[in-house]
Amino acid sequence: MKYVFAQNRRQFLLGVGGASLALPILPSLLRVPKAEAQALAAQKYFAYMELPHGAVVQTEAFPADSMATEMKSYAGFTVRRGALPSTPTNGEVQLSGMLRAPSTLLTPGLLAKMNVIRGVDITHYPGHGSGQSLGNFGDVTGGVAADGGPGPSSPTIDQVMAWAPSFYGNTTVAERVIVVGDISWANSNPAAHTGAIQRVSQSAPTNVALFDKLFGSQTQTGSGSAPPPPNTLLVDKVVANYQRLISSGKLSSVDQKRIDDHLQRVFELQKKLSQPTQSFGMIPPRPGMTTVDSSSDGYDVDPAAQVANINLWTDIAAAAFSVGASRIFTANLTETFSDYVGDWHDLAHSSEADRTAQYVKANQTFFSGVFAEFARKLDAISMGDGTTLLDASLISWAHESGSNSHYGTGLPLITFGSARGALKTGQYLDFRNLNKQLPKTATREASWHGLAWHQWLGTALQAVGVPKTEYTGLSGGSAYPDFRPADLNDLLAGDMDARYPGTETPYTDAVYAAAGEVLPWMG
Amino acid sequence: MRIPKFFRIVTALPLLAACTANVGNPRNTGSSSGPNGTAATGTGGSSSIATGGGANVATPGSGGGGNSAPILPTQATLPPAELPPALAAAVELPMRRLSAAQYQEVLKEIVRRALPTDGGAVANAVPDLVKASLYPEDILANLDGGRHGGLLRTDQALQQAHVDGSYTAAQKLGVELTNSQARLTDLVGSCATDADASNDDTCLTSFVQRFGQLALRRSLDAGDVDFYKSIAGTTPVAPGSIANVVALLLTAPDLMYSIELGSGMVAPGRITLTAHELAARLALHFWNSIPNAELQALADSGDILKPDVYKAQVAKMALDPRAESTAREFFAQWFRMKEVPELNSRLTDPVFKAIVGDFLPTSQTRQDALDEIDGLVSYTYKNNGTLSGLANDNHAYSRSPELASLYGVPAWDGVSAPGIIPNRNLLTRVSFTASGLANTRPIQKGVRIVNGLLCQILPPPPPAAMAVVIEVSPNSTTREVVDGLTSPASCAGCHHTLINPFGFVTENFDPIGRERTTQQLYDAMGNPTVAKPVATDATIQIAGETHMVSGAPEALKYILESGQMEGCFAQQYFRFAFGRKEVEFDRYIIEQLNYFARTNANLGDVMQQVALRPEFQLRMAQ
Repeated sequence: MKYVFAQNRRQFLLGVGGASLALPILPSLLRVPKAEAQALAAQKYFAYMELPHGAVVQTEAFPADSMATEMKSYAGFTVRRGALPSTPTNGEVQLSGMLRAPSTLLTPGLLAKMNVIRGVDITHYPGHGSGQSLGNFGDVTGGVAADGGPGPSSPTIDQVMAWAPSFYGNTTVAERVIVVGDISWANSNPAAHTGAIQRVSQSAPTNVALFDKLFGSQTQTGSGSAPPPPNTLLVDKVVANYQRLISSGKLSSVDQKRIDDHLQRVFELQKKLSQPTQSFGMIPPRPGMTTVDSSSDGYDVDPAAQVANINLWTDIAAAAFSVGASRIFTANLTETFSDYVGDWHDLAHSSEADRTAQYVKANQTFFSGVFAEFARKLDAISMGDGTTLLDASLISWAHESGSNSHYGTGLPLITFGSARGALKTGQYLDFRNLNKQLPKTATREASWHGLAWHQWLGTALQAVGVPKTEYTGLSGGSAYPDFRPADLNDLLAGDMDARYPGTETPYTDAVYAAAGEVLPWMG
Repeated sequence: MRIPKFFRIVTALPLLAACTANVGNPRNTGSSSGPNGTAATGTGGSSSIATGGGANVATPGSGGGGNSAPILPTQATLPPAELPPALAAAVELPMRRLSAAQYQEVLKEIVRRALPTDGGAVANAVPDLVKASLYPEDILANLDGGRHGGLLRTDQALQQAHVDGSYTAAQKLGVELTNSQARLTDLVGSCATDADASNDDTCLTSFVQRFGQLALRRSLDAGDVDFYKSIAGTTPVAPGSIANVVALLLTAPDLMYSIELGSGMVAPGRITLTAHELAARLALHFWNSIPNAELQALADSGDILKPDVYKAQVAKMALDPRAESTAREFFAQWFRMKEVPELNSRLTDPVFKAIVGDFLPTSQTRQDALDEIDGLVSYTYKNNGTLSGLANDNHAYSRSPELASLYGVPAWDGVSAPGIIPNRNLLTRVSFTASGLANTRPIQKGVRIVNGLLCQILPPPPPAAMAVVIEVSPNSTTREVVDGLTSPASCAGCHHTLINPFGFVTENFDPIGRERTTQQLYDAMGNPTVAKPVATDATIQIAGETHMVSGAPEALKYILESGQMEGCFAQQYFRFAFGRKEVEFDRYIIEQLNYFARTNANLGDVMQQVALRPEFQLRMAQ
């Protein structure tokens, strides 16, 4: 994915002299009047970032098994946990080869807000999918259902949150979800949960445009000043125009649905125009624009430039969170975060030995340079009550697939934030069923089956305050999404030498029965 | 060995045997009959899936068509001229949203005609205005479920940004059109700026009727006029009032969608379009725009519904430069030009740098390669060229001296006859051969031909397959490396029979598209090791027949003899025209497009055929 970014905006957001985004500017944004503080106390924030391909080298992705010292029986097998250590080595905290960062970044305080989760699996064959790790199994190449057909189409959980009554309620925000890349799906009428499941496009083509979309109309009037009174005459007439067509009685039912869907979105616009967008802090002034095209020479193999580019997006997401312009951020990134000059795609699908060095380095670069940095930004923003924006958030990072490309096992799931105490943090959680191991082969790492990815999706929804009643009804069952592939014969075709008894049905009734619960030790 | 997921371009799980058979869409389990039977009856999928799902009722966002079997004609047969039999179930999309390209062109044309004096300047500013309003681009939607290829017009999803962006753009245009006394006069008439208030209401009525006809692509009735006037309030011709009227018209459902209510049921399941609806459909299809004055008049009079008038008008529209522009849009998408890689991203790689030598690709090089294909299509269209002629064409269309130097010719001036570039055809142009890496990419090149140009749906690899890195070898050619890596039985079924051969035939072109007879190999530091001859011979498989070829020219010869490329064109152009996947009812249209392409009609004539079919002139009743 190509982005365009503004260098001087970066400089602005980082503050004069290269200081961090949060320290010089953002704390001053939060001058929350008492009345607003009360309302704010219930608000939570969610972010998710996905890297493509998976192919995560297992031996370098997770902490040592010895770190998981506590065990219990869950869903028919033994799961494990332990506390994350915080002792730096040579100025660096090393949880694993991939999860390494300077101790100045990954401080004990930040580590205490982190979880490293292992053994939560995508239980179908994970082909390419633009939203499967957020819950839409209907757009996965290679098919998901037992007959090779598509899985069920479902809204991704970011959109479930965005339209759940308990998340935004009557609050008006500039953007319900800040979407970057190809990852978010919703009903054609998301408010009513009706109509086809369709892709939600990226919020803005560039981060400059995103900034303007989120803050533009307010910054034009000066920092902190009230926006001009909205003229609702036009939007009211637009509503009337579409209602006029509907009431004409000339439309077929499918055409009427189309116009209904459109009208719902005009209502959303009308709401934004007629009710002030939530804002409880000082909006950053609009910086000047000097755009730099990230398709410039060498960007594809320049991890430093890629990190800087993506950090511009998370800067804006942090700013949006801090002033309430949006409370959800999801991103599917196509940057490699690597200087590998060969074909990254081929590398991603190669054997462990081929890709170890490049992949570990790339993931470590993303973790330290982008993801942990995003957590740090949020943690530097005070909520005025002794907590930080990170404390009110659940931010997460995962891959499109796991130990090898198109393997649903071995996905590292890394989170920061407790969503205001809804989740326990500071843990290494290992949910693998050690009795269900697919042994190492010449072309594949050892991997284990564990709990279902559905359970993580439900955990995230519940953590940010969306009750089951607001999402399970969307797909019928107690888990989200309500889908259970028949078996994994397709997945394992050709791996006859690497099976354990019962491999065909690795995810038992007990695993799916638990899929509606919050993940063990997290609640 | 796992085959890269790049090749997971279908959504079914057939066996590898599919690679040795006539490859179709193996997922489809629906029954379908011929044109004289009933409609295809897809059995799988959900009615709400956004990429190819659904039964027979199409959904917005999907491009429609559900999971019906793709229609890919293999024989050049002219179908019956009349309509196919009635369908058992409706298949038409709900009203189509204008594509992003159509939306932009429609606004430009409205402005141009509404503001006779200054409209050109404002129209030129429309693209930036629309972009600044964050009206979203469309997404390439592959209706067969793959993640590559696809057409922008088949993205029928409605985003919040469509509503927000169009609202913002409409407001801005309203202000732009009324921001001076001169423009207000130009737009509304002198009655808007004279001192006489008594004529203001008449003035506004006249304006609403004129501007409304452009924006809504139909005549306004009294109710419409009253409604659009109502936003003007008590100062009917004040700039702010007119700006609001403009904005309200530019956000109207009639502008954003193709609203086709029809003039009555012509047969069970079918309604005929009204004259204005038909004119609007023609203009949107051929020009991405609104009817011009002539077409508008034919719609107003109803003459467009007369067969002879209609046919003549279609022919005339196909000759318009805007039709050529739309044709370029289609070919760029069908040829998957978006997948052409950046050629300047590996300049830090010593091997790549050694390969490119004195030619240093820049961020412009890729665009130059895209522009070259644009030039090829444009020249072919304007000069009555054919599809096969376009594929075989070996002229230099690059206007960039840098790109032209890769062909060893001077840049084309765009006016005089383009020069010859030996040993080139469509398959061997830079945009089809360059990888921007130290290696060429025979597998990706092959897939682009097989799946992109020939519409053969490749089965996915066996799930347990695993790829290995195609290393830059100091002593083996790329072909040797790829051949070896794809030799295991689990890979060879598709790779050796279908995919690799089409990539190997262009191995006499290096990673930036220059012709070569040897592949100079390098060590990791970019020091030359050995030069080995490149081999371009291969056994290719097309439509179940195998051919031994010496290289790209012969491969293309057999491609064109097979008719597979024309069939693919017909299928893809149908989808472009209708914004959805085909169903059995559409077979005649696709067969007619295929027939004219196969019988070497010129591109303009071929593309007219879609509108000359009776199916184009009606809509399925819902």
